Amino acid sequence: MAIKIPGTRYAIKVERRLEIPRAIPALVSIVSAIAGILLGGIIFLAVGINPMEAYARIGRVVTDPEMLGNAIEVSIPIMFTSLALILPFRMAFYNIGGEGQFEIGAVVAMIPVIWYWAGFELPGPLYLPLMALLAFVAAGLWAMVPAFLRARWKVNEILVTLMMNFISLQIIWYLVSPGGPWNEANPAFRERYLAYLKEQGVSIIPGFKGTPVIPEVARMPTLPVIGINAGLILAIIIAIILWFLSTKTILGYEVRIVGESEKAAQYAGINYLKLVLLVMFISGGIAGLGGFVNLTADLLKLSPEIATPGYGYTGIISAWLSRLNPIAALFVSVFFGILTQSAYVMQQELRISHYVSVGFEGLIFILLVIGDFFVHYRVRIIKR
Amino acid sequence: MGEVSRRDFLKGLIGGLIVGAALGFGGGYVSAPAKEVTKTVTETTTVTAGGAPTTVTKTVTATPAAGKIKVGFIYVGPIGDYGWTYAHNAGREYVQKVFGDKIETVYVESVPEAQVGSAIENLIDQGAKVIFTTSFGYMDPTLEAAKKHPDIWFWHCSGYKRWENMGTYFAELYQTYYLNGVVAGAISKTLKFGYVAAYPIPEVVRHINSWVLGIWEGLYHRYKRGELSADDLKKVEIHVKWLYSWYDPPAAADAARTLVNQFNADVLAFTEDSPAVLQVAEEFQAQGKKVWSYSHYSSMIDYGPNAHLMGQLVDWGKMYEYILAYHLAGIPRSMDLWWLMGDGADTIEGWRKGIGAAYYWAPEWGDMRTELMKKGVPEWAIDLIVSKTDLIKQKYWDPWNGSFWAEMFPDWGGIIDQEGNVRIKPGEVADHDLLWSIDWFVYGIVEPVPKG
Amino acid sequence: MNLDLINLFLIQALTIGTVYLIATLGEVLSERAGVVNLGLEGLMEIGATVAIIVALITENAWLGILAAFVAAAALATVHAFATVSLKLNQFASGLAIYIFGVGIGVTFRGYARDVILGPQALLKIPKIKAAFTSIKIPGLSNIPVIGSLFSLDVMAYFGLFLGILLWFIFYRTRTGLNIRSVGENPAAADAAGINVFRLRYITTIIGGGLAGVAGGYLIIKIATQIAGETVILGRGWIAIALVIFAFWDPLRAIIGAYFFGALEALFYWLQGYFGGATVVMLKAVPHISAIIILTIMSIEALRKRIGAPEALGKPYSRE
Repeated sequence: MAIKIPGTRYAIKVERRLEIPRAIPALVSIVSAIAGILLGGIIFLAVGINPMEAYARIGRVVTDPEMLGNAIEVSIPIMFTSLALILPFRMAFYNIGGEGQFEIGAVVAMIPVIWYWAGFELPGPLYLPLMALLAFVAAGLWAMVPAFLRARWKVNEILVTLMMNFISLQIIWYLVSPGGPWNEANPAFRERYLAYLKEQGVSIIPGFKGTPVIPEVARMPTLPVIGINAGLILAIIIAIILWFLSTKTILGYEVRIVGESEKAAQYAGINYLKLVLLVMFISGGIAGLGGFVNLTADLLKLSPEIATPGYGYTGIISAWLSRLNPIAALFVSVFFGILTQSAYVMQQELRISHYVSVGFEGLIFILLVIGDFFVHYRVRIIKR
Repeated sequence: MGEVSRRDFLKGLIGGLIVGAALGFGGGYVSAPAKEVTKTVTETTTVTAGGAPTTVTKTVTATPAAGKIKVGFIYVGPIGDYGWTYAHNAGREYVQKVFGDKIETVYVESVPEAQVGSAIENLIDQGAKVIFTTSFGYMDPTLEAAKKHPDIWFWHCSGYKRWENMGTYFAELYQTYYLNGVVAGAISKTLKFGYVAAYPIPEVVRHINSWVLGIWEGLYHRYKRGELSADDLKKVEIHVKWLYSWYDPPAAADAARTLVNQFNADVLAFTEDSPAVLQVAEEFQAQGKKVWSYSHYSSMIDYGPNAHLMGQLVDWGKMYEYILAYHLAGIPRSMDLWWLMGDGADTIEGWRKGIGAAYYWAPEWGDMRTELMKKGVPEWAIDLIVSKTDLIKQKYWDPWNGSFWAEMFPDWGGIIDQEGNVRIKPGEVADHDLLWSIDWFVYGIVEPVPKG
Repeated sequence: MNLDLINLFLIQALTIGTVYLIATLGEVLSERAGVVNLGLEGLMEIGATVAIIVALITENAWLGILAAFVAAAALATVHAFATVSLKLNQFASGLAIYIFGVGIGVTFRGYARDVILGPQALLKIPKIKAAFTSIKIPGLSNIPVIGSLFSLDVMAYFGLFLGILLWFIFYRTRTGLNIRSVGENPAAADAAGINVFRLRYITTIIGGGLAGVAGGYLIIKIATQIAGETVILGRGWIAIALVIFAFWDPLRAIIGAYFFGALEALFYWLQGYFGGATVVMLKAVPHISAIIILTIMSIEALRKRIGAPEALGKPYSRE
């Protein structure tokens, strides 16, 4: 296809690439991220702020070690939600439900804590491993629902996972609303929770929307020296496992074949149903672990607030931007963490809503989507 | 190399890995902020706020603030929105003005509860020495930060957990809700009242109950004056609708419309963070139906000039001034401040004491008597709330007082709940713990408190 | 039961339903031609922002609504460009539009209040709201139950009219047949001489613009606010569920939108009769029903009868 440029002897020629050079997707990612930031400058100009002022804030977050540490801390949940999407996206199964799987992980991880307050106490070191396991399994099972629907009846997985995000949030609402079974004012927790609060000089349970607080034994430890929560280590381990899975195992091979062509996979004798169930179990599980980390390190109690930052949606952009490379996903997540942190600094100093970082994310996402065109097509200017 | 700088170094190292050699590695280490050297001296510090009665004079061993004290504020909502966060920000602006060059204030708005920990760390990074966290949901992360940073002071609004370097403060509105209720009882034509409430938690239940008690006092006086019959009093209904959200303006508006449409309520009060309910009242006024409502936390009168009666407002500035005076004097301590409508003289911390932060009429609304009478509030009701205000401020009288109600309604025999059981007997006054864990509605409210 | 009360309830349900209806019809239009736009939530947020700013500056609600249409349509053009011209993934592009729309919409609204409008602007709110006062048709509006249909505001009638108009276009006109065939089998449509690209562009842009109108109506009629905080709060996603619920049919969309509107109103009207936490689960009904319908629909025979667009979500390319 060639489009004439009027008035010249040149034309733009668009050809489908037969083979995608390895460097192109990465290049598009980098260009999208940079162009997104630059185009974002136009937003600043539109509201009368010198874009350089805004960029200086981003630069400050990057160079100030304390702020950078905070940015990394904020990016940990994004690491999980983006790592979770790598395998399913590779097999062209578009799991948009990271947000819901993240929430379900947090909900189920909460169960041993609920037992704790209801009077059933486990040996201390058991808590974190047990909660992590529960989060992984429950969120994995939750994620298998859309996988099954898709494999069995070809139900669109994007719409199903999307809608499930809202259901999981309503489940949290139900559990923790005043009067709900996990609300901190539930009489079942009363005795122990009140005793715990009394140590802190409190004599009343106010019954706010939320569960009782997670006791110290079940909290995520902070890493020595760097002062970031241990979820970071978990994320790095998962990234390495994912890298290994996708490059060195049969699972990774099958995922790649399915991603290239479902038909070809059929001829190769790959059982799509089995594969997609397994992949989504792993995917949901990883997102669920993210919820577990967020709960035990940051939130310290289950409440609908878990959905406010929208980590699940940022994870989609992050996974895409990293070109489904698990190690790159870690760094891209930190990039988004830096954006979020910078937005708070900008907000304080430039008087602009911190939603501006959401605008940036959207802009980068749009460019990334459009950039996909250049991954698949070669655009050249030719002489007529 | 000391502990702290090693941490900085490692963070710089991580930064270096991430942004590449060009941006991070060296820069992170080099730009690590130099730690201030503090020395301990003995001195007398007197801080007198401009015109306001806060003076803390003490001779202590203290670390004087080298130059300005940096004070950080963390808000849960946008400062541009009327209501909770707007009022806190007005308080911040006020202390900045009062203390001038002695302090420097910074703030972060719309911080999700899940990210408050890093917002706190950020403020500390910027050199904040005193940090106010202004949402109930920030309680536990604030406590964690207080344990982690013993050299920084934290003040958490509306919570109940304290630490050596973490205090709590709150302005309680039940008295203002009560006086708002008196006006509601005096002005209502339909004798049906509506309340749009965020969550069924004790704070909200307490406010609803206090408003309803106020309504009963207003109605009682109309009955005494012969304007209402005993049968009329039997027709009184108060309805409550729950949002299960602090902030969802369309939902709040729909709940308010339901109260007017379903029950013909003509006075609407609310506990949620938007002016939506007042707007709905204004909408009905525009259609010729007299429906009234209030301001909540900050003046919302612009959203409904015709429907607006009065409000439940808080002057956080006075609380911030009081707290920061201790810091400027170099003698900060962990306190539990719980201010109501004070008389401006009492400066002792604790329950039902304090300078007073809650009020129901903003000076910019004009003269209260003229404005309220223009809207049809009878003069006796205005006299009544003016005299009640004085009694409440002096702590001579409190609406949660069993004898008062037993006298007014002998067949009640105290403050009674929806089923008619006496909850506060004559001679009793509700104490802090009762009001903080209240889970029953007073007589007159139709729907029960939701449970499961 | 008091019949007036039923009317009042229905008016409220229909008003909430109108927000859903207009957004849903926009999405039905674009999905019928084969383009899914998951960006509704963002388009509505942009629409809300532009509508309130323009309406307060010009003191004219209609100009606000018009501006909301234009702004959301402009953003939908990006979606059309990405998905129709560049043939990129519709779901990804829609999500990007969603995130961008919410971010920019909220940022600008907060900024507008602080810098452009100032607090005095609030005094103009009653004036712009007056444009959407309900019109009571004498006589008819007093009939029990049906009367509520005759006591709505102009936008509600517009939504109703739009639904019927779209149905008429889809099933009684040549253009509608073309739109449906483009969504059903673009290759065949192309072979029959229909300009697939042009039709998809037009439907996506108008559909997106309608989402903006829905956002504008929400912020002016239901809850006026100009703060840097989101106001749509998931209502765009409900509209997406509704398209499925309505089986891509404009008339069923009317019923579905009013049903979901009634469900939302019921959340308040029924309180006191049911426990609190139980009522909370009412809010998940739209999403659960969408999943169930999606699943049922996957059965081939049923799908044919329901008539979901066959080429939904698939880019069309001549090569």
